[in-house]
Amino acid sequence: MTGVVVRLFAVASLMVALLAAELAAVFIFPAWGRIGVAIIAAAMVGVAAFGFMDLRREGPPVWLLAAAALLWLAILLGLGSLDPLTRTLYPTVIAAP
Amino acid sequence: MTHSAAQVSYLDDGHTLRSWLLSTDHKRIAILYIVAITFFFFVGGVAAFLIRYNLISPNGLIGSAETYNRLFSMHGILMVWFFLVPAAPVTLGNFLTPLMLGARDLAFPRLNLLSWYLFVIAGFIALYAVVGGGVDTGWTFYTPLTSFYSKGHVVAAVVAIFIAGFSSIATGLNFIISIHKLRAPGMTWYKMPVFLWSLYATSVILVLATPVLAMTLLLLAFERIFGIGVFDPAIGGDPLLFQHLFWFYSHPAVYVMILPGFGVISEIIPAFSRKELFGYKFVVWASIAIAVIGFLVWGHHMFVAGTSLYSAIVFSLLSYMVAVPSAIKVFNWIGTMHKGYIRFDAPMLYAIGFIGLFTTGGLTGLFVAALAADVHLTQTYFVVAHFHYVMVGGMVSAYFAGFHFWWPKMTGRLYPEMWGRVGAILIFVGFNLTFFPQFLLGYLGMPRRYFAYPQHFEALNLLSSASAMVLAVGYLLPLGYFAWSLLYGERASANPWGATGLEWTTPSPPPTENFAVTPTVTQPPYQYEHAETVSHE
Amino acid sequence: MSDVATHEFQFASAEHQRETAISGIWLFLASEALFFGPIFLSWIYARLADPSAFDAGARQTDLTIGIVNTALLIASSFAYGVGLASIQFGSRRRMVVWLLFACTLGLAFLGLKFGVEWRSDLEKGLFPGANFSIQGPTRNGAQLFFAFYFFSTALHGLHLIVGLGLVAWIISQARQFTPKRHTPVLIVGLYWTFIDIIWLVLFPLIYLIGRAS
Ligand code: HEM
Ligand SMILES: [Cu+2]
Repeated sequence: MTGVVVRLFAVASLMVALLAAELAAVFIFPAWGRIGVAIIAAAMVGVAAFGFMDLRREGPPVWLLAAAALLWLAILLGLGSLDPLTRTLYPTVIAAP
Repeated sequence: MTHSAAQVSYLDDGHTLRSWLLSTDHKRIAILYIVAITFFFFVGGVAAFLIRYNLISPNGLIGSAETYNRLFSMHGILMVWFFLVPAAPVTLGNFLTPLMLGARDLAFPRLNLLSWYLFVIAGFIALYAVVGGGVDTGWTFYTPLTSFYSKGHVVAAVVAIFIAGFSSIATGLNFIISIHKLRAPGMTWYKMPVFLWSLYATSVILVLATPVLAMTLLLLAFERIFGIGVFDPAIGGDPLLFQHLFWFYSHPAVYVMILPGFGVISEIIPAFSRKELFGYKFVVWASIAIAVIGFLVWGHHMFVAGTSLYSAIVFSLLSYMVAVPSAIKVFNWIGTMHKGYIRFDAPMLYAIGFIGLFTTGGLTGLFVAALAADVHLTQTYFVVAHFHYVMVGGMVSAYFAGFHFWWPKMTGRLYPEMWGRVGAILIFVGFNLTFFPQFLLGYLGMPRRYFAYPQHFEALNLLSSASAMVLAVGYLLPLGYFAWSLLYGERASANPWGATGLEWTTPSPPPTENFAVTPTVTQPPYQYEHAETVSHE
Repeated sequence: MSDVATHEFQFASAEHQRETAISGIWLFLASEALFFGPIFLSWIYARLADPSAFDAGARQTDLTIGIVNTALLIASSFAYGVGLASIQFGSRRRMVVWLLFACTLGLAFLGLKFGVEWRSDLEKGLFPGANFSIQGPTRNGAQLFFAFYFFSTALHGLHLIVGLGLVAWIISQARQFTPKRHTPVLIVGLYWTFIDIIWLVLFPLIYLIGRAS
């Protein structure tokens, strides 16, 4: 029991540390920028999935399901933003009434 | 295997209304679904009838463009979400999945029952929306029309589809987990019937695409209720975002409609050709490939909507890829029939019709997937003909094929074979005469969704409307002879078609627990060369 | 109640039923992840439309509350984890205590988010529409941000409320659970942490990116 609690506590502490790192990326080391924030946020998601949800202990079918969720999100966000990222915007002239 | 007399058929296990409405038996839930689905099919059909009625005359016989808009929206919404998407999984899939797996039920029987209630509640809300006031947006709900300008019960329609979506998710989840976890001893993945593989691919789409639609509809409802939102161009929002999200679901959803059909056809063709399915592994991996690639092509619905040229080219190329696995299947079915001992019973007639109609629909899909050609063809009747060939010609034929094939298993009765064949032929002929003219009309430039049209399109429209009556008779006919069969049909044996598959090893209709003894699978499916030939009683 | 695990008739054993239930919840969570997909994509679109105006909107949010709330959710996942470990090691009473603690943290999140933060946002006129208080060139982009903000936090909040209901249900059923039979506790825990994960993504999208350079 103590072992489990210590492990969970370590996970929670790590996440709080990552939260602090996110804030540092915004206010103390602006050079890390948005990319830095995004990477740290992704790390937090990973820590929660493996630390709290014990993803590692589940079998291959569950890994497959979790991987599918990530892959499909990547399809949605990737192909979905292809269009606005490559669009040519022509200046519009709005005629005065 | 011997069946003790103590085994009660699932139909006799309780005769009260309560024993049906609170049953968690997948077979009973399948029957509940059949009742609901059939009802919505006919309501959607009435709307279709009125659409064709209006188009008999160039000026529109209904006399009001507003009413016409409401009719085609009602037709689209009911047919897509309350018939085409759920129909095959929730009826045939529900009934057959545990039987084919050699299991006693699905993994989550109560969730299964819940999905039926969600579906029925959603259905009634949708009926309220489309009948009591109507929706004039089409089934696609494009913004800003839907969020700011359209009149009618948009929010109710959206809520209905949202709830129906969760019913789909529940069903898909149940199938995926059951297929992973409840296969009988010895049933490895490659010993599974193709129908289950197809259902698995279908369920992947249901579980991963439907939630996207659900959230998109919530965003839409938010925008309509508060008059502002992320799709609102007035504040820099992007209406195309709605279309992207909508088609992220709706293109894969067309494969939800057709994939179970592929599965049904893959069961029927070997059974009626007395041959093993040609290229089993190609067929199953083609299903999985369709489920995945089907998510990469949605932009082909938006070629002229103002998306970037670069993304349009990417989506056009990807759309060509999705046709490859479908074509593989067609070749495999034909390869199975080649040199087979073919019997032309009603399920096989439907299946052969399916191959022709689906191929026509699929090939014209390639016409519209070609970026340049689509600029001319989009928003015309060509597109309407394309998708009716795949959805009505393809999916509905496969659904009927499956229904005839497994009818003896579900009810324990045989249907009148002669009438079955007449129905299959009527539907094939009526379908082609109704929808082929629409290819011509679209090619000539008749736009879709208008209630009036120029004089020179009259002849082809008349042909289409008249033939729709043949089609209607074809669809009503089974209702009659199936009802007759329930009362007077000959009793069916456990395996009237001499087919392989675990579902045929248990009595017709099956007992509540499906199998007296959990079966052990030793052979791959479709060993027809080695099975005894069918006896013609 | 005895500690002999039973199972439904479609399963071969209690272990089989447990595994199946756990796969089921993971698939459900995969589906839920896609449910939030459109929210993330709409963030991308809304920000791309006019990044500086969108960020100007984002800077109007209350960062302190955001940070505290993130910490609360991390702590609540921790508390739930200890509760789960408690039942696995045989202490039902300790499980109930830790689950109640997890609930309290969740309620604190809701209180801060909707009772304090939303209220002040609304008072400041940050709800998009005709009465939106930000004027000038960033008005449109900021409205787009707040359309995203209110929608996404409401959706996340609803999930948290459902999660609270589930944890409350687990607490009310506590008598049933034993070291060998506690699958529902596990399943609700997965959902509970999943809600955290959604927040871990929303938090930077709402509070941080607009303030970063
Ligand atoms: C061979 C693969 C297929 C390809 C490449 C394909 C391609 C396309 C394209 C490019 C469009 C858009 C046309 C336009 O609006 O200008 C379209 C529309 C449509 N397709 Fe397909 N399609 C295929 C198979 C299917 C299947 C199997 C179904 C249904 C079972 C289907 C159902 C639809 C529907 C419903 C629409 C019209 C949606 C609307 O605008 O209301 N398609 N198809
Ligand atoms: Cu498509």
